[in-house]
Amino acid sequence: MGMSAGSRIACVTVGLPATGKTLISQKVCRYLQWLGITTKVFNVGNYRRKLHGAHQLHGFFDPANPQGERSRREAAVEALKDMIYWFEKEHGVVALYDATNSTRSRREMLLTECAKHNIQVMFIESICEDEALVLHNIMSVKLSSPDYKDMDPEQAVEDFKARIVHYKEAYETITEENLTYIKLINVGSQVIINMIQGYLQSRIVYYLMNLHIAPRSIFFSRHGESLYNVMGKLGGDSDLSARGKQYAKALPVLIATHLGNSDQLTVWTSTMKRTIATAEHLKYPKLAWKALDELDAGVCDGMTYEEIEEQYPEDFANRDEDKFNYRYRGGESYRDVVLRLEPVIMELERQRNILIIGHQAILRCIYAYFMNYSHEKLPYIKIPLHTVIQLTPRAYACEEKRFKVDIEAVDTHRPKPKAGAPKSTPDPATVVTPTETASAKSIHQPIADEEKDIGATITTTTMSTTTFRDGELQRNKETQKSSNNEATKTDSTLEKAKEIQAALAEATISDSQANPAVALPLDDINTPDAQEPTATNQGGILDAAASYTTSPPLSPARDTVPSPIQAVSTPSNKASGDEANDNLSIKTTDLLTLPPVMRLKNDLQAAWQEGPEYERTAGASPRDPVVSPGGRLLPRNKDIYHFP
Amino acid sequence: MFPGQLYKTESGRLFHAGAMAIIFVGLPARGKTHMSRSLSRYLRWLGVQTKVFSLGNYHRQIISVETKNDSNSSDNTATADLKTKIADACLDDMISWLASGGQVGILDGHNTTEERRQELVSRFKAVDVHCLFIESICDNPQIIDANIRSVKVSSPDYAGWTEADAVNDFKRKIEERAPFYTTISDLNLSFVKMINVGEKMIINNVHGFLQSKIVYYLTHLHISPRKIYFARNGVSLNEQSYKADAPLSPAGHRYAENLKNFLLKLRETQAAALPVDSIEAIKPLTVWTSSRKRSFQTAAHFLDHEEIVVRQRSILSERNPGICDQMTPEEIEQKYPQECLRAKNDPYRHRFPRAESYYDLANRLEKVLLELEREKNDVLIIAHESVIRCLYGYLFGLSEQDIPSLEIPEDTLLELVPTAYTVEETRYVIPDSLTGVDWQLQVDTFLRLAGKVPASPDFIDHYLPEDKSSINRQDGGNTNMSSPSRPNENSVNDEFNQGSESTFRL
Repeated sequence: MGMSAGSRIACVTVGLPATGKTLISQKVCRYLQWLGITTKVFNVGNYRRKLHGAHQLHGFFDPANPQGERSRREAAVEALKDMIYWFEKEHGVVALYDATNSTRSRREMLLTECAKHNIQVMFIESICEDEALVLHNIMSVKLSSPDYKDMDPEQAVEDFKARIVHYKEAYETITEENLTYIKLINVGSQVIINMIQGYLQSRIVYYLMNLHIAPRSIFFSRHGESLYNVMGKLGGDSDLSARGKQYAKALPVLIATHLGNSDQLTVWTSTMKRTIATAEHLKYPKLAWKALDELDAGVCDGMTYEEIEEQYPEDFANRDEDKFNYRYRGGESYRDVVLRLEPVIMELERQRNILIIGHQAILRCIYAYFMNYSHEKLPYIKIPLHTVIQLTPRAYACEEKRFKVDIEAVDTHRPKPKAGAPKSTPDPATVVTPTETASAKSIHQPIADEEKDIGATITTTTMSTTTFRDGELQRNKETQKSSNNEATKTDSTLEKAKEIQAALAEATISDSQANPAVALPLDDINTPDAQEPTATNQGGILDAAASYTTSPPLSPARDTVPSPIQAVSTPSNKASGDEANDNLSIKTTDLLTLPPVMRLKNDLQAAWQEGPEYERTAGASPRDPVVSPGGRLLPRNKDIYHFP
Repeated sequence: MFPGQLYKTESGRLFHAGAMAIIFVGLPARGKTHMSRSLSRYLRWLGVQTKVFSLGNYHRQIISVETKNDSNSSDNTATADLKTKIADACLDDMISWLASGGQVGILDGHNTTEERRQELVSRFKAVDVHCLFIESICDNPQIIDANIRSVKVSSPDYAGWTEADAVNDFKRKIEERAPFYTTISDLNLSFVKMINVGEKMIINNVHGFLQSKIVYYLTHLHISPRKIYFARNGVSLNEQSYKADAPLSPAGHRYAENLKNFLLKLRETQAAALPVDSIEAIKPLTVWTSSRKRSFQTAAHFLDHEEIVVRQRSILSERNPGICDQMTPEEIEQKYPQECLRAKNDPYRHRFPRAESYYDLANRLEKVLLELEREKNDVLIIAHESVIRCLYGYLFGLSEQDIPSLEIPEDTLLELVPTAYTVEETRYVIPDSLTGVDWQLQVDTFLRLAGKVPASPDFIDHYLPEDKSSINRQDGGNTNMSSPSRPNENSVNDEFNQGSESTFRL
């Protein structure tokens, strides 16, 4: 059986430099990968830089320069070889061949070769007649390219313009009526589509027609803490807890503060009580989507993780093995959720400012789309309660800020158990990730025995209450409290964070999109425990890491607590009881002065995606097993393919 | 409210968009009527107040057939005047309908001259209605010919004519109109040019949710003949519970085998009945099924025919009953009297706690509808009654009141043939072809097959590679998107028993 026939498509971009071809390729790639389709970008520019060096001035691109012409053709052929190899050997479905491909003869070469290997070709031509837009593109994207590293910006712009002139001399727009193509003229003000066939092609066309480049922000928040969250139960349609209601009240100020000058915002919720209640105090137009309802846990709905493991031990193990594809009995899998969210994503692409009040699994899926997470990692993305995430799309990636509201909530994140851990023997040490062990010990000391009974796959952080606070005050308090042992842990985490931070900063400075060499710490970045540290780029990064890993115990484990109300008001919980009311009221000043938590990781991921000689360990082909921590070199011996 | 309406606004217009006039442009026999009807059906299903204003109908109403046929030439000033009057009457009606709260008016006429189009733009602009032109251009004589034969000859204009005469007369009319035809060239207009039924499309100045939805829909349309079959899934071991997702019962397998035998026989008979020189060959068959066990196990019976493509798709799953799972109607009535009352008042839209309403289901199925439009092969959809009701409701343009009570009987195959104006339906009761066969013995074979129904994550021409199934061992019968592999008979039997077991556990 293997792959079905007729579903291999090479999307070949056509257009002058700085007309947004790379942006289009990246976005289409991300969208299709998210849908679970094996997709990859082959950027010819990167091949050229690799083969012939980065610092080529415009003379290289002069069609009258035979050596430059030959060199560029060489790069194109290399990229094409790799692409065909990828289709043949790695079951690729959609490739984006990102280059100018501005001459008829170049396109014919591509067509001939693809036809030989039974690959459909769909051209995506971007035509931009608006000089200002082209200039904007040069300034915002091209100047940071390695081609112009260490060059005076003005000189670089002039050189780039000269490069465009060279391409214009030889440019032939697509007129071949037998080809499958889409022409996007002036960012979609006119679109011409020709011979589009099949689901995938029409889907790509629809997606491209919905893209826009106007600035906007997308906000995500989970609903406020619900009664089921407090009880550690999955699913359900419960009301908000007292703290959840506090969060709902705090939300309007937070949103208004970070919306910027614009007051244009639409709030989307699910049809469940807890999201609608969370949106209650927001004075913006609201829409309730059924498609945003939480993942349906089927028979496990309303159970705790322990109950699931007890009643459906095999299912529980299967879920840990492949959480993305695991479908609850009579319920849904993450894959099912991605499919039902697809129309929401399409609509999100079209819209301006949106606030989504959603659920953990749902926001993981949407977040993964914007931040380009693989299906493997998607179910473990941290979307804590009482935190607003703001994503602002930039040229190749989204900029992320997280705003934690100073209202306590339970932590519902359940990290992936480490591979190879015995599934049913109680041995928390081998299962829990280092940082979590640290916090777990401090939190759950009294019930360590019960933990063992529960079994290893339940990590102790599952239901621990974590404070989300910001500022140094909190950090100082916590550092004092934490034991020596934990302090060491924290230190090593911080060091790691600093390292990554430095690498990231360097990466963004030198080139955000085309330098795969800096993409070393991907694994560090994506493991759940290291995610927090990398999430920041200012002083706040360290605070976040510290406060996260050393959060004090706030709620005893559910087994010792008979009712949810009590869970909130146990003596160890500082935020409970009468005394807590002060703490619960939101500290507006803190909110306003909060350092935005920036996430640079994504730029790095874009670099991965673009890098031709490396394959991303995950995400390039979501269903591939993760092979190595750093990414591996594609085999260079591909003599079986011959090109003219 | 309409079957697939996303939300409701105070103005009664959707997507916070204003009113829109969709104006068709093109010579006769370019598929304008087909496109306008299909588009209107889809928009109404989306909940957009839509109405088609067909110039042809106004003609038929105002002048008798004889005078019209005599005087179709534009040279004749008297009839030209009359034509203008008719066109204006149609336009006036459309404008007043839009003013009274309609959102999308579709003007199905020729509008072949630049002056006429400018006039329309200024008329609509005066009442704040946006114009979207859809021009159908066809230079493939085969398509035109097929269109004339399939649509025009059967139109009321040619009642009592012989086919040859009608075709010739119609061609003459096209030729008369052709010299006055100019294609749209004003780039300030919003327009879509459809060339040879979607082979090529030029989309200019098209923005906004509704307009881009319309364009996306148009990319799916085609006019080649095909069939759509619906059949309900077989009976499972536990019909009471949604969550149990129980496997097919032996009786269900018997039904599945009967369904397959009957459908294949039917298609064979139909193929044999076609005239030898007919261009309408029988299309290959594709089977779509949900990823619920009783559905894809019913479909699995088609797997021993290699030429038939079978795919399971999670979005075809039945309505989730929410809290009503495992309850009889009486129990629900007793436990949730208030909810039941509301459900009775609005059976389409009422959503029991945690459940999906028909409306939710319809929205979920939109993707399937579009793919169904695009599909050129014959399709058999094996699904739960609720899913078939929604799809059927869309194809026939039914209102939301009708859908929840539609009768989709068991043991029945529905055969639908979409045509330009309508959909033709035939229902067949599936006969039992297995008398005397010890059916129980064969169940295991089909359970093994059922594990091989490939999952299609989102679209039909692609599915997960087979090797994936080895990664996700799915014991105990919980389904996975990728085809669950059944390495040995024991696990098959486990799977088979699982359904009844898990019901006890529930």
